[in-house]
Amino acid sequence: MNVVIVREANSKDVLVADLEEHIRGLVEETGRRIDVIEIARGEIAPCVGCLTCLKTDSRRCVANDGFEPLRQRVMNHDLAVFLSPALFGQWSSTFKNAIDKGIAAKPGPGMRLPPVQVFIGFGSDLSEEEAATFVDCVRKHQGRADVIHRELKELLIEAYIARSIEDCATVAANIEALMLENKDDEI
Amino acid sequence: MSAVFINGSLRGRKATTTSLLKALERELGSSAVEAMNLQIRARPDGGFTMESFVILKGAKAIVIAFPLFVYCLPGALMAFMENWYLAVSREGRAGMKTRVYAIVNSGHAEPEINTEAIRVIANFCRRTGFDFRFAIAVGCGPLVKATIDVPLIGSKARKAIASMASDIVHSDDAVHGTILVRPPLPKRLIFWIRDTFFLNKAPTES
Repeated sequence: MNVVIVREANSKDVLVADLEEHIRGLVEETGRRIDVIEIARGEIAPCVGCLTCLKTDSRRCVANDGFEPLRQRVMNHDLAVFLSPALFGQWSSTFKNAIDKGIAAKPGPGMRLPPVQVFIGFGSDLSEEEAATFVDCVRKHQGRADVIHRELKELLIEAYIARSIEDCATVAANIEALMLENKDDEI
Repeated sequence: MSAVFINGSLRGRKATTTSLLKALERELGSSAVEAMNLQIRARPDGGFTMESFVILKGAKAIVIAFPLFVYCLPGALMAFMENWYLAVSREGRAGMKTRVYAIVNSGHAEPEINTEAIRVIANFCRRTGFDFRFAIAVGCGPLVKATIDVPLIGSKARKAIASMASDIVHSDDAVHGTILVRPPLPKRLIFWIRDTFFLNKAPTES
């Protein structure tokens, strides 16, 4: 599988480095391509909720920021792994700006389905409730999204938590299983 | 005594969030509570400044109101919260226990879909030492906004707002659960109204 890792620019968290190393090892073992995309703070403007992306066939954001290039790069892969701090139990604002603009949504008619998506929330001091909130934010409402993401249940989206180096190994094992399950859907 | 309303919608005066905050302000009108508004901005810091931090530090009650974006807080509000959290960690909060409330509205029919966003606010309060009181979760946001002053149909929303205002004014200690609000109409009718009147005519003000 061709895999892309999306993370915040200049992240110095040891968990990010460890997760990236694990995933890189997995992908390189199979001889496939791995890319890393960094999102800088302020690179993607916040969604203002104008809904133009829903009201037009292009399903594109009208803001001329870093979102469309990011989406196009992500779409060229079979598996996208998003590494975000799980702040108070949700994505950081840098990630949330991209997610609000539909990075996780199915594109318009005739467009390719997004890749399998894995959201990893990390933080060494996360409480149980923060970790559970993050996982629920990602997983819980799939298929119930009757307004914005009508076809979300068709997509495969997973969520994991990494609070320690040991967790990173467990998350990597889960991703490996996911890659094996979905290897027939490669581009 | 002051209450600060954080408006997490970037849609401006036409937003459902703004209408719900105005309803709360009206409800507090005759009390001794002075309401102040902080507007989130489409900037990397969400519009957080040291001036806003000082205002928040002096507040007895803070109401965080926002539209649900992908089951969570909108990115701009999240940026504001991140900066607020850093400021509280660095500078400390006021000695008094600030009471925090949330009003989350969504276009989804079921108000329960706002649950995780409310949990995020509660987690934020746990980290900062604020006293999270309770939240109002609104389903069919634009329809609730349009019917809040209509007899019967708008009564649930009005009662929820009145409960929050009373809790702010009287500093109650009674335990509250989340108040769920949606118009008392069949889901099919709600979807028809949404598709006919709202989804195709979403405001583009920013």
